[in-house]
Amino acid sequence: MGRGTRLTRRTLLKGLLGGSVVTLGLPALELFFDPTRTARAQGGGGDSGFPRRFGLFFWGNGILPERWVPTGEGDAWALSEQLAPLAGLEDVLTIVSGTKLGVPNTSPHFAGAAGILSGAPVGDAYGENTFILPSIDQVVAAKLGELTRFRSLEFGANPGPGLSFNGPSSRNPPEKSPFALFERVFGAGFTLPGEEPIVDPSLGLRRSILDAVMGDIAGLQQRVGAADRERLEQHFEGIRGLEKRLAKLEEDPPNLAACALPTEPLADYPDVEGRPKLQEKNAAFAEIAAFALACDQTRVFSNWFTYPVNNTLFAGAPSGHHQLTHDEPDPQPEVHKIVLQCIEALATQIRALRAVPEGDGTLLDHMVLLGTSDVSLGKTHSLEEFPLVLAGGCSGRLVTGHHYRSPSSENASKVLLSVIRAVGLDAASYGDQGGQATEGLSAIEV
Amino acid sequence: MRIASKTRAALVLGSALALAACESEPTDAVTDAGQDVAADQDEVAEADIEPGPPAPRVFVIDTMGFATETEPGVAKGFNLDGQVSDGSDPETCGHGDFTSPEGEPGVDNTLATLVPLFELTGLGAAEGLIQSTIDEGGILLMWQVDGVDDPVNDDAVSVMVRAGEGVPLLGTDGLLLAGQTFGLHPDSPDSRSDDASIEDGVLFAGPFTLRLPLVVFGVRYELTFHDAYLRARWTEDGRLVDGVLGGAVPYGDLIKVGELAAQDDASVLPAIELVFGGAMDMAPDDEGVCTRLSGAFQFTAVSAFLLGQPE
Amino acid sequence: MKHTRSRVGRWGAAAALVCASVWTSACGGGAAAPASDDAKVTDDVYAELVPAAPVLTRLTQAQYRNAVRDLLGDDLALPATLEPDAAADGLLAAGAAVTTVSPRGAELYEEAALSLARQATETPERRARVLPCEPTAESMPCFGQFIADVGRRAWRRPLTSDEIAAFELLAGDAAQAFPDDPVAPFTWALAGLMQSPHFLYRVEAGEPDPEAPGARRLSAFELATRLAFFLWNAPPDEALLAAAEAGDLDTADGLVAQVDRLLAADRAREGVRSFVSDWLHLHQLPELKKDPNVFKHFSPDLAAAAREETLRVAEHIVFEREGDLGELFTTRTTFINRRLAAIYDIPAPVLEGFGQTELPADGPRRGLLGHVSFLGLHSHPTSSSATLRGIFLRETLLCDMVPDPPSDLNTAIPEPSPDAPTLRDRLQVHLEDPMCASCHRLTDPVGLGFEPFDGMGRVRATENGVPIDPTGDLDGVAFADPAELAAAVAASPKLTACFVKKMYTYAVARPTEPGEQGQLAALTDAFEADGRRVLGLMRAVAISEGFRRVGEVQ
Repeated sequence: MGRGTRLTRRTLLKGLLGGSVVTLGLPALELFFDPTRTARAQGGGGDSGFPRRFGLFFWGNGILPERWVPTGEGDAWALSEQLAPLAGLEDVLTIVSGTKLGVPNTSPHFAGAAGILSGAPVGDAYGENTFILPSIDQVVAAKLGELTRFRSLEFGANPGPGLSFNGPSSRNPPEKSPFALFERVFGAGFTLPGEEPIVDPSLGLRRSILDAVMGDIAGLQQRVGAADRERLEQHFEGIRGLEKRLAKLEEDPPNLAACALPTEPLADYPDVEGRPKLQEKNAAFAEIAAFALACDQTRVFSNWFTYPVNNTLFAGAPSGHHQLTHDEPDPQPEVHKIVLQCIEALATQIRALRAVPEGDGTLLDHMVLLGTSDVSLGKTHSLEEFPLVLAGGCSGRLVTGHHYRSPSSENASKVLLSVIRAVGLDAASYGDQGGQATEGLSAIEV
Repeated sequence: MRIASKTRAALVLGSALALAACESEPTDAVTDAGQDVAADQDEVAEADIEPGPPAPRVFVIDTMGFATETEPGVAKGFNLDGQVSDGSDPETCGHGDFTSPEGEPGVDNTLATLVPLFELTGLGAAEGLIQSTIDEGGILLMWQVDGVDDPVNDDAVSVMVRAGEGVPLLGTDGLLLAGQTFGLHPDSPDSRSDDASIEDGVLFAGPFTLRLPLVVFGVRYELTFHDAYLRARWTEDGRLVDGVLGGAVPYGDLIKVGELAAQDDASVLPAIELVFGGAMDMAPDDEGVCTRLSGAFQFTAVSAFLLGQPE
Repeated sequence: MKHTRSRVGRWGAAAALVCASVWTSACGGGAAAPASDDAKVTDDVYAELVPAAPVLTRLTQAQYRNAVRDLLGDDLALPATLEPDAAADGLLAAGAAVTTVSPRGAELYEEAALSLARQATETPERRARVLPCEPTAESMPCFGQFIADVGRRAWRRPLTSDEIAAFELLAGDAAQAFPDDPVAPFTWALAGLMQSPHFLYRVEAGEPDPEAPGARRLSAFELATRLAFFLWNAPPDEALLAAAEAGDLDTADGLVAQVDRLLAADRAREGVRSFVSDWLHLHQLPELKKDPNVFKHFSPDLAAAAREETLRVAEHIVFEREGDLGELFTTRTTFINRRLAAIYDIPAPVLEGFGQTELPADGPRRGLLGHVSFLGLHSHPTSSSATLRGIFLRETLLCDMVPDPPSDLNTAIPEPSPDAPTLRDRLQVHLEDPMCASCHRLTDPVGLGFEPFDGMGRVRATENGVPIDPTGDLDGVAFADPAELAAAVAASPKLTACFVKKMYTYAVARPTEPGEQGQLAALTDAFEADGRRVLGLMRAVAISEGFRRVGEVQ
């Protein structure tokens, strides 16, 4: 049950309009429902010649802060106990510690999720939690998503409904099956560099239908209330994305040297002892995501490894994750082991991105991956000492090999502002109300 | 592979229990696994919902294995012939008795001496096969205990041996799930021991004759088990544990099983004759030749129901 | 604001008439209601209805599939995934008026439409269901009839001439793209129909009500659509569309006749199943996961069986028994298969599929709250949870508000120990700490009443060797065991009002508005007076003013 800012059909719209969102000198609404207007300004390229990309890795139920923070600061630091699975990746990481979320903690888990992903307080739409602003992946996709076949990809080993929000009550459902994601990106409609584009007389008809659908939607918009107009606008955007994808089919595929087919995943990953095969699924997803970027099928993905409040039975765990975070006595050894499994999955995602060579470096060098959760300490739903892991220098815009420890419990949204600027958004602020940041974290910017 | 398995199955069961072979026939019970969860509403059967007097307590064997010689001269089982024999008496044709782990002498369980031979003759998977046959519903051996006033001490209960039918539901541990319902097998032996008792939570029943229909790899057998006894501890959570089932198997029945098995593999019959030929230790005939093999099994059982369970 | 008979016009009389017939005769009779019944709706005791503004409701996944089935036949391979449903006010039906179609959803709808259109036109048998003629190179003349007929069924209203013309254009394009395939124009037109927002959404714009100047009502086709999705969870059939077209739904008698026809049809069972599934959150059952090391009885097919049990019991009480709402909670009748019987440790009534049986009179299990669909779903993977069960009971069944825990609160409870062997002992901290107690007082005492059932729903007498104490009270009504707790739930006035609110919200397929409080109160009183018969309530909702009125577009 949501307990945040109470939204109704009428105030949903107001919430969206009233928020300052990412300040781009345009009303928020236009930004999020017509990204073309802001995306045209800057192309994808970047100085490296490779497009800049963004990835999000999210796990639910937080960490154990006392075992999370790295030792040492700046460039001389060492991984903590809970970050140990990232060993060997230190040179591509930046750990930000000591920040807190500026949003009110009105709804356990979801206030934190909304705070870290949208920079804004969580909303309550008829008893259900919702973000009132888009999540960071969609903020970025509003710009980077225009140029590729898929605006963004959402997936996860055990993702629940995911938290990729376009706006209030508008989620992008994550793909739960690696095989389905593989088929979607690399199945019919995908051509490798150098191959001939697809010629299919159906494409024109499909486009005609989509045109008609957009016409119907526009017609309906004249007859419905304001909230429904916005809902239809979201639908309209989806259709427009489909049209764009059809057009891409007829173009020559991007000629990228690193593009190749990922390993075809298994059709199914059956549970073992009632425990889902999270690591295996995640490894398959991680590779698909890496090649989806390498082949420029998308420039934005979000990997929803697990969901807030998830009660997943992790391998070796005696109870569900969420139950353990609340019921296990300190120092919560079982929770610790589960956090390690989450960070192991994060490490897998980072390694998959680093494994793709691109130019003189790797794919990871030309992007930034943000790893985070919905709370810090799950037991108390704390939003202080928030877990933030960055990987990749984003074509030289972000520092790597660094531990930044905030001396003053800074607002975690500063990191988000640095990140969206690094991938190319010309943003003056990020978030809304207490979560809003108007300056980035200069210590992690180059 | 299938034939070899079938042959082995027949041998194992034959060695265990007297088998009177029927012709092979496909069995609906094995092939029709239907648990139709999404069944349409018109499939709902109106079952008899008359409330009756307290139901009899029914158990189904969920694990079973040979009662082997645990140390020299010691094995579980029963004194089937009422004698304590050292092997010198003619009634047991040269086969001495075991002592039970509790120290009771006179245990007739010559089968225990054969179990090591099974290993040598390639029947090492015998126990695994018994277990998988149980899991597949090929052996649904059930005890129906009637007249129980007190599951700890009751000197007047009766035990009926019944055979169930149906595809067992297995628990997450791979064993028969407690509390499940089976149909009553049309050839259920329904042998009854009316002077059974429960003493300090231990159920004892016998002797009775046990004829049990079995299905192994789709082949149907019926086996006979003479002078059978049963002993098991009834736990608070409604299981039977530390169970022992003993009895005597006629040699002729073993040979019949061998003949059936030999249809698939002609080498089986001599092997059976070799293994069992000299092992008979019970029921000497007029010429003093023993005609039955004594044996015992260990088992556990879980609570179960029979469809339309009688009062 | 009080309602004073004005502005109701002809409908006031009609409502009274309708009520009389609802409460005393229709839907199988039953005891006559108390004498004051039909006065309730028209007398001045309820706040006047302020009709809610019209909203756009997306078809839920089940509604989409039913619409495809009705339009194209039941032998097509339906899409495995569609835009996910999400709840509002605790119901997926209402969430469909709040959530959006995501880019991924739009993609899935396109894939589905293309696949279904192809399937529906690929064999002569299937074509015969949908097409007025078998296509040949010269068959375009029958296209006009095709698009008018199929379009009317797909969009649940007649197409305008402009809309027909657009499809004729599309068909022409298809004929040009696939000159050797005379079926192509039909296939592509179907694909277009099913991607349109007029298919994917229930468009309710409303129209001025000629009977009540200044007021608005659903148009006849909009009303027909709302009725059919409410009572059948499916689009209107031909008879209902015809009734709408003929203006029958504009009169009280005509409306009542259609409502009674819909309720008497077999498909009303599907409608009730759909409502119950939504009401009790049975769509969450696929998330039912239990630790196999703890619960031997768990299996992957359990979730579907648990859902089926609950739906069959609901069907039985609603249709066969025409019973009081409370019977859903107190009945000992249930419908189980062998697996559920093993969990309940009772004899299965049948060896195959589901059969009817009676739960033991001397056992704790009663009604819906004795089902795995409640006891197992609202538990942890390795143990029961008094809190989760309590929250469901409070929020979903009684419409109580259970606040979230305050932030930065230590939520740990002690591990089981000799001092605190049972969950009741361990949850004591919730009630001793005032920060916890304010909310847990609502959830834990009732949730602990279900502790005789483990996290899977099996009966147990002890926990960690100690006898379980299931006693407690529900809003002042003491109970000694789960059976008494079930009876207390059944008798709770909150249950009645909450159930009416859920049914009404489900029916109008959007969150309710404050201006509908009077309508809800009137329906609640009438429901009570009618012996809380669920079919009676569905009928009353379907003919209520709130159901067919809309406000201005906002």
